[in-house]
Amino acid sequence: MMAQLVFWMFAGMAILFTLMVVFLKNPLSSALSLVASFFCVSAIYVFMHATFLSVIQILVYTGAIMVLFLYCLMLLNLQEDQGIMKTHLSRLVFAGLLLFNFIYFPVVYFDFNKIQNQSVNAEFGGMAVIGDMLVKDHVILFEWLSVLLLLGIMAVVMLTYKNKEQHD
Amino acid sequence: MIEPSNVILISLVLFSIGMVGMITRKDAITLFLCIEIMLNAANVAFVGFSKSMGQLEGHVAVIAVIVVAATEAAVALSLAIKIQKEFGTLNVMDISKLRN
Repeated sequence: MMAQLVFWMFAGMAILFTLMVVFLKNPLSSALSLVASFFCVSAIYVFMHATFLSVIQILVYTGAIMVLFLYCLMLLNLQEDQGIMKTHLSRLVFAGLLLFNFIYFPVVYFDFNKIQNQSVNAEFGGMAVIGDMLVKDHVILFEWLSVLLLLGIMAVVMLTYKNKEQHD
Repeated sequence: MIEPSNVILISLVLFSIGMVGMITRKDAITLFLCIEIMLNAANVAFVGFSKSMGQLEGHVAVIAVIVVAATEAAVALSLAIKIQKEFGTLNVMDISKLRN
């Protein structure tokens, strides 16, 4: 009972902060609302017994990616957006139609009772089992992810490299 | 009881909010924030289904998605800084009109 209350509180807060990302005009406020939303989603992961992922979400996703975002936001001098309600009407109508379709059809036509709930042991979602899977069963994916990271580093260096002869 | 179907519903709502934000916002950085919302919603769906099936492949997929999001964030932000230097603005509407 208490667990359900806390779960729905975190879920509501995640949705509220995500709405704030879309509706706030200042890009810095949007980024900070997204950070708060990630914290709430990390709490939802704990309820799903994904303890390793909840810590990884805070450390990597919030602590590295969003901090990088905030650094670049501070570097770029962004003006305030004019807000979501002042966009063109056709765009708003399109977005509203998409929103309605994406929420109405799955909720009405998908049988949510088909998703079971399996009870899991204490090691589910822990670091040992996931690490085991990464280097034994999914080792090719793991290695390709490291290649992807290397490619990302190369791309960023190529984009921002300045020779000594170039002016700023 | 907290069912995984609730988590799938939350993932659906988060994804559609991110999608609506991506359609209506005009700032390049805010567009990219909405992409991150959608990636996060996919992560939530992976975690929910992983609990529902009792298997851990979903968690491996979440790690892959987080790595891809990190790479994409780095590249997109360096591109945004270069665009700001080149065009003077980050409004995606104006970038398409400005020619050299």
